Amino acid sequence: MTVLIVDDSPVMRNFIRRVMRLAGFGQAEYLEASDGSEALRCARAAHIDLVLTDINMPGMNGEDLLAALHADPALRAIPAVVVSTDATLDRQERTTALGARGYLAKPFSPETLRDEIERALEPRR
Amino acid sequence: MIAVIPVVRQVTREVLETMFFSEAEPVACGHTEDCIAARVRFTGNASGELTVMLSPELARSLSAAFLAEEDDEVTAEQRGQVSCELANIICGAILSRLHPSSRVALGVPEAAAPDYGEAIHQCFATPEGVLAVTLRMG
Repeated sequence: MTVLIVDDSPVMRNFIRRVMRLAGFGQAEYLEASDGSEALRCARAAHIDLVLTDINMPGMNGEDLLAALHADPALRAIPAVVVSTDATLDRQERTTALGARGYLAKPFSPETLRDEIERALEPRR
Repeated sequence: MIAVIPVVRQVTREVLETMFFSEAEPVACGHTEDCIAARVRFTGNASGELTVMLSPELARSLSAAFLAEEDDEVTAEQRGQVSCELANIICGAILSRLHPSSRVALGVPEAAAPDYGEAIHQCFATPEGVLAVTLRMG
């Protein structure tokens, strides 16, 4: 499995990668992007199985990234999970409408991360 | 209306425990100028800013825990980045609990001067040093 971690904070990308391993995804390969534009380039150049994206980023933000992924037939099927400090209902509804399959509000534990990712990776009915 | 100080206390403790593997106990404030500070501004249905201030020892220890490195391997740049991330997470979680149905946008966290002025202010003792959180609502 190849996971694309999108966050403008290098220390947060490092943390997510570590917690992913603690959560049981130690065999996965990890790619990183610091904003939505870089993530899109990465998703078009490599086979990505899961996107974990922040929302609040300079340049192309997470909502714009979700919209771009959803608009591209070649990328639409990639499950995307939002990892954000914003836990408001408004934000969760907006990102769900843009195609996000999961939402993880910080702070989160490895167990919560694993549950949310497993739910996002389930085949859609 | 939700009381703010209990939310600040609960959120800060949860954030430190869950993502920084530390414990925090609310204490009376004793300020020191020797600290690392990071600030996040927010706008929308609620506006203002949140500043966290960490003793150098705590900043080093939390950064090491967050990055899974030894204390002496953490660079000053990483300490600053982790402090910004701490402010970002605490701010987002507090606002989400105070205004769960509102639309609030957080700015990019940044290094800042300490903020001990008149505002909502809470200090925490941790095994590694002192943390202070200041919240200003517009």
